[in-house]
Amino acid sequence: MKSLTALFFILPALLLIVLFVFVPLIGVLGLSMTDFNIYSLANGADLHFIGVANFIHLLHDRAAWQGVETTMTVVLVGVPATLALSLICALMIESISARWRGLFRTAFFLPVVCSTVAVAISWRYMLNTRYGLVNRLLAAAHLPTPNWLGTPSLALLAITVVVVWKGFGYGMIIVAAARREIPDELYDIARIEGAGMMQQLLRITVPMLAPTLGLLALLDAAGYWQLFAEPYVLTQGGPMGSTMSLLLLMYDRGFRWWRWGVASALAMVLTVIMWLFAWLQRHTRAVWRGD
Amino acid sequence: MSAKGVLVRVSTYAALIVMALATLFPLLWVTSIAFMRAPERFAGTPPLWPDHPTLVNMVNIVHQQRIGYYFLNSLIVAAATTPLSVLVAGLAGYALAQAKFRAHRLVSWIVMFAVLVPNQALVLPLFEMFSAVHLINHYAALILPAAANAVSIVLIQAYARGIPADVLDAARIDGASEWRTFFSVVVPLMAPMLAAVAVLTFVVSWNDFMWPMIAMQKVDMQTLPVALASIDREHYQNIGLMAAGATVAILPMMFVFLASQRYYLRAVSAGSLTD
Repeated sequence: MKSLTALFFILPALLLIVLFVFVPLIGVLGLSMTDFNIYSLANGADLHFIGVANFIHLLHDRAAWQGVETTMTVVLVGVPATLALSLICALMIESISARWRGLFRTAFFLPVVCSTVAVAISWRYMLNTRYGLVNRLLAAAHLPTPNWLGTPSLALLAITVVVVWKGFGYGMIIVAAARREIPDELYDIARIEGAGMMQQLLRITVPMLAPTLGLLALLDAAGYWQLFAEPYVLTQGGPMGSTMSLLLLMYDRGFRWWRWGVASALAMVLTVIMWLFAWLQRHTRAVWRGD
Repeated sequence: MSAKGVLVRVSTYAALIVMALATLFPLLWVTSIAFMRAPERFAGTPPLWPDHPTLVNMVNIVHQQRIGYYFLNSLIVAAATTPLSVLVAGLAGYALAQAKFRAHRLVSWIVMFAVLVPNQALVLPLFEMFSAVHLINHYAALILPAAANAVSIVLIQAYARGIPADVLDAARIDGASEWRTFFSVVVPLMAPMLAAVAVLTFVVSWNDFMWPMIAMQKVDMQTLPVALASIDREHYQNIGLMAAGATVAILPMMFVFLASQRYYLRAVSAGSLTD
C-alpha cells in the first residue's frame, strides 16, 4: 500500500479525532483559564484571561473536594467489587457444562447493554423505602431498612451498587476469555502433585489472570471516574452533595450556573486524574510483564 | 464423581442461578410494573407479576409523552452513527495495521491519546463549536463526534494485523485498486470484528446521555434517555408511567443484544487482547 493511499484511508478518522477530541481538549484547557460566564456568553468582550485562578478557586471549594472524594470512593470501592464479581462469575461459568454457559453469560451481560437512565429508574424502585424490594427482603430477614437514597452516608453506597451491577458483566466476558487461554496441562500437573481446588485457584488461576485483572481494574476505573447518569437520575447529587460526582458538578457549574471557566477547570481535573490512572496502567502492566 | 465433586457442581449451579436471577431481577420487575394499573397505589411492594395486566401505562407513555418520537430520534442517530463510525474506523484501522508510512508513529500516537481522553469532559467547548456553526438541535451534533471513535480504530487495527499479506498482494496483482481491495477483500475478512464494533457503537450511541442532553436543547430533538430523564423529573411519582418508559428503552437493546450476542461478546473480549 502506498503511503499516500494509506494516509487517504486514515484522513477521515484523523480529521474527526482532531476536530472532536483535540480541538475541544485545547478548548477546555483554554476555557479553564478564563472567567467565561453567563455575561461573556452575551458579550464576548466580557471575557478575561485569569491564569490558574479557577484552579486556585477549586482548591478552596469544598464542593470540588467533595466531588473528587465522591468519585474516588466509587472508583476505589466499585472497582474491586466489580473485579471480584467478574472473576467469580467468569470462573463459575467456565467450570460448568458448555451448553448452559451462554445462558448465564447473557444474564450477567444484559445490564451492560441497557440504557443507564432506564436502569437507574428501575433501581430507584428497587431501593424505594415504601415499595422497594430491597428493603422488603431486608425486613423479611429482620435487618434494618434504611432510606438508601435519602441518607448521606448510604446514597453513595447505593449508587456504587448500581454501577457495579451494571458493569461486572463486561469484565466477566474478558476474564472468561483469559481463563480459556490457561493451558489445561497446568491443572493436570497440579492435580497429580496433589493440589486441591483452593490451591489450584490461588496458585494457578489467579496468578495467570493477574495481568487481565490489572488491565480490567484500570478500564473499569476509567469508566467509573466518568460517573454521571446514575447520580443524575437517582439522587441529583444529593443528599447534601454526598453523590455529586466530578462530572455532575461540572454539569451543574457549566449548564445551571453558566460558570464555564470553573466547569472547564473541573473537566481538566478529571482528565488529569484519568491520565494518572492511564500512566499507572502502563506502569503496573510493565511490572507484571517483568520489564 | 466423588461426593465432594457433586457438591461443588450443585453449589456452583445454585450460586449461578441465584446470581443470574438477582442480576436480571431489576430489569424484569420494571418491565412487569410497566403492565400494572396504578402500582403507586399499592400499600407495600407491588407484586412480582401484574394480577390484571394493562396497557394503560404504555398507552400513556406513547400518547401523552410521545415516547415513540424520542425513540425515533434515538434510532435515527444510532442508525446514522453506526455505519459512518464503522467505515471511518475500518479504513483507518486497516491502513494502520497493514501500511508502512512515515507518519505512522504520529498517527498511532494520536489515536492512542484519543482513547485516553474522557469524552464527557469535552462537552463545554463542543457546545460552543456546534453553536458557532448552528448545528445545536441537529442530529449532526450527535452523529459527528461519535463518528470518531478511537477505541473502534484500535480494535479494528488489532484484528487487521491478522490479515495475511499474500491475500492482499494477490488482489493487487489482479489489478484491483486499493479502494476495491478494501471493499472486496478486506471488509469480508474483517467482517466479524466490523460487526462487533458496529454493535458496540450502536449500543453506546443508544445509551449516550450527557452530550445529547446538552446538544439537544429543543424538546422535539431529544433522544430517548434524555427525554426519559426529563419525563422522570416531572412524573417521578407515576411509577407505572416511568416503568413503561424504562421498558421502552431497555427492551430494544435486549433484542439487539440477543440477536447479535456472538459478535458483541467477541468485541468486548477483543478489547482485553489489544496491545
